[in-house]
Amino acid sequence: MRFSALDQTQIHLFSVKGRHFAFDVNSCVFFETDEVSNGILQLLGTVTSEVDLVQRLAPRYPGHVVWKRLSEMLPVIQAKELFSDDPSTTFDRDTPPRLSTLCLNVAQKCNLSCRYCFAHGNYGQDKLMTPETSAKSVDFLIKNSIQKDLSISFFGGEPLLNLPVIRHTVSHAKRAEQTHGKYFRFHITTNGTLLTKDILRFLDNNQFSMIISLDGPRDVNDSMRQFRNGRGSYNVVYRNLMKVLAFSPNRPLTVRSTFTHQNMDVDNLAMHLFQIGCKDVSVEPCATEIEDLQITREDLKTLKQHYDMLADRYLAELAAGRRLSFFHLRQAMDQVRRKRFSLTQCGAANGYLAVGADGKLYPCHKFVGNEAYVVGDVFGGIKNQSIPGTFHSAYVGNKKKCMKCWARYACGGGCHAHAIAFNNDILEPYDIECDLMKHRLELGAYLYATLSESAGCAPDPCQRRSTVWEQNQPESLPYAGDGGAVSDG
Amino acid sequence: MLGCEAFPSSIRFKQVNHLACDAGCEAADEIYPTVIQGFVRQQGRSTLVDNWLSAKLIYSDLRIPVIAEIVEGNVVVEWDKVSFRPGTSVSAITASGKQMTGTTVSTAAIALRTSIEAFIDVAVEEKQASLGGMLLLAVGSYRKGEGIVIGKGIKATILVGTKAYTGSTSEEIRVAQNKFETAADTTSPTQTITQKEATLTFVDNSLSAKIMYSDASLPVAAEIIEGEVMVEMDKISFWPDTSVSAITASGKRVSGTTVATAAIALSTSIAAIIDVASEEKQTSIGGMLLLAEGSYKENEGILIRKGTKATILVGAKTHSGNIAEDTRIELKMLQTEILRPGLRRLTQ
Repeated sequence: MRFSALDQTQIHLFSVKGRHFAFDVNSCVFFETDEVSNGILQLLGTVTSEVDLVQRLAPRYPGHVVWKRLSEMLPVIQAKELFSDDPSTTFDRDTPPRLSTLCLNVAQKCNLSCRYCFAHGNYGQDKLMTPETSAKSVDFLIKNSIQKDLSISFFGGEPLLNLPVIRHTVSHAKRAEQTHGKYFRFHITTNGTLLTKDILRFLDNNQFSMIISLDGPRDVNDSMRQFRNGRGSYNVVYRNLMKVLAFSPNRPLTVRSTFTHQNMDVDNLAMHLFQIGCKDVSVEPCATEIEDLQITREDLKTLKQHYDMLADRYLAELAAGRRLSFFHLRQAMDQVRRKRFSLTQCGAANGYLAVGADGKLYPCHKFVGNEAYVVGDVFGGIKNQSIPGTFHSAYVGNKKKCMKCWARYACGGGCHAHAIAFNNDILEPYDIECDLMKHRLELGAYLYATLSESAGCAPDPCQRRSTVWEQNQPESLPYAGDGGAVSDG
Repeated sequence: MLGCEAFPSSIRFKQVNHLACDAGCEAADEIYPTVIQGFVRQQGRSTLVDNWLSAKLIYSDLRIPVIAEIVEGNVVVEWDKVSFRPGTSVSAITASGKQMTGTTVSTAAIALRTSIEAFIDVAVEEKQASLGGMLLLAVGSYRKGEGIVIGKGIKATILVGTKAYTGSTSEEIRVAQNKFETAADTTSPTQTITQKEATLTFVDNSLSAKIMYSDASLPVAAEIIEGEVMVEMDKISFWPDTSVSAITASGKRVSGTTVATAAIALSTSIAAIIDVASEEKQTSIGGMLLLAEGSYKENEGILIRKGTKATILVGAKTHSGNIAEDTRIELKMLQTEILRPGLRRLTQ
């Protein structure tokens, strides 16, 4: 074997809490290594021969141990499981994904005024979607899709401020199922303040999955998520959340928190939600330009320490047999286990579109109200083809920064909306998001490796609690564009 | 005993943490250290071929200066040893100044880094019959780019024909190594048996052999009665500092520790040079060479058939002849240990 032909940049070596790992950049395969194998992999592309390698490692490890480890490793390399070939030449990007998910902003209006809201607490002028527009949206989705399974996500603002239109949309979609041979899945992202038993019964009857926003402990939540009169929302949301858990305990429900520069203890935030009974929790960084809330590069060290602490606490919960899900770490474990190869992080502008209250189409919910990104409308269809084309072209192979990053094919290149918001360039990913993604992937390897040893079997991070409508659920928490759920932060 | 069919059933375990089968096969695929599924893989080993080994060795003792020079020799350089394969062309200048040219008739290896030791049995090119051997036996060290260096004053033995000369090296000896090209040695694939998730290694085993030789002039018997070795799936290894003892042809017991690595390949042959150092002084007291073709079977150990050509070397004396009777080398596995694999694939 010509060791000099091995490109060290094609593997990523890292250690988490004393355990060593290797990641093959091009195939997205994770390995756990011992210290000697890790030492070998650090040098392999720089040595001239096996003997050279043994000699360079001689001060640290006995020669026969190095030889033994090397003899284990060489067949793996020859089988292209490590230092695998760059797959970029095999990319087929000719055909964009067909539309399968619509996000309906049925209420560009909210009863809360959260400090970090990307709509800044209002949309200038409150708007509610009309029944006609929502029905046109359903028709547009049917007309522009080829899949049988379609998703509609209700979003806002606070979508429950426009409950009649939600009911109308569902009713229209159900009728269309019969005539067009489609099957609709419904999702709602709500602030949880308006939930009643009647609403819950309606959502259950139509097998809605749900995200409720709650920022953890009361003091943290109430400093960010307030009613328009300034009163904190925690008590109301908590009471309603308990109602949801009691009313339909098997409902696919994720409780989602946003953290900011002012509350970066994601471990305490997530654990609080677990402790009050939530089973599926997601914590997202606040993507804002508000100075005192914005996550900065200087925050990353602290933030990663909190993620490390969260990993340990999460690990203890899983090892104890509790079926809890922390979205990003579960997603990372899922990546470690299943080798998901992604060229984009979502299907925005192609597989997924957002509809404003007035019927205008946007690449995703984060662009609603931004006139520069209007793709068309549900009445006349897509008029500006250049936007879907631009988004489809914005895959990792066309992002210079991504092509230098070890996590590129596991990550998919980051959020388009964040790239535009923070760098004004869809090809320039938001670097803080990149750092967090990479750190979570490393933690995912650590968690998976630990659980696969201690649990006595390989953990399936995708394994979820059984639900009454499990057969209709996506396998994992849906992403924008591939399942319908969207976040409101 | 394990119920897993993929694992050789004949291997006896005393200490096995056996949880995998209880968890089902799917779990067994994933879990260390309870996984002991194995598979056989044929693989080519990358080697450097057509290399050139050059050494000029000068020895002296009180009575006689000895010079021997390997002026040319095609060898196979692997990462841990330089091997002389049968049929390798070599030539040397003997103590008397005569140049001997021929081809090697058996495999010999020089372990890199720890020592230089090689028994080269040379046959004349025309007749392909052995005209004697040449033994270099001295502890040296290997450095990349410099080859093997044996310091001045190191105890050494050189054997030319049937005569052995023992003394100390009179000056520093450097064995240069010139590499000309590399190639993958796919013609003689190495059979290795590896574990998917764990490499099973047996430690603290004992090797027992009684080998009888005879030729026209001299019956020879030698018995390795004890020796700690590492038995892996494809070979038995003697690591440096392994305690071994043997009874020589004269009935004297030789005990000491090995000073270099030697390996006996299972299933193909038995060939090992075991350089023994006395336990007290840690200096070499001579070597012991077993060289004969045999075969390995599970439960039965290594079998060398009657009539197989063999050479045994005890101290500085070599004896060649034929195996007098079927000889069986038993492997007694006393203890098992599952070594954590160096590389564990997490992704399915």
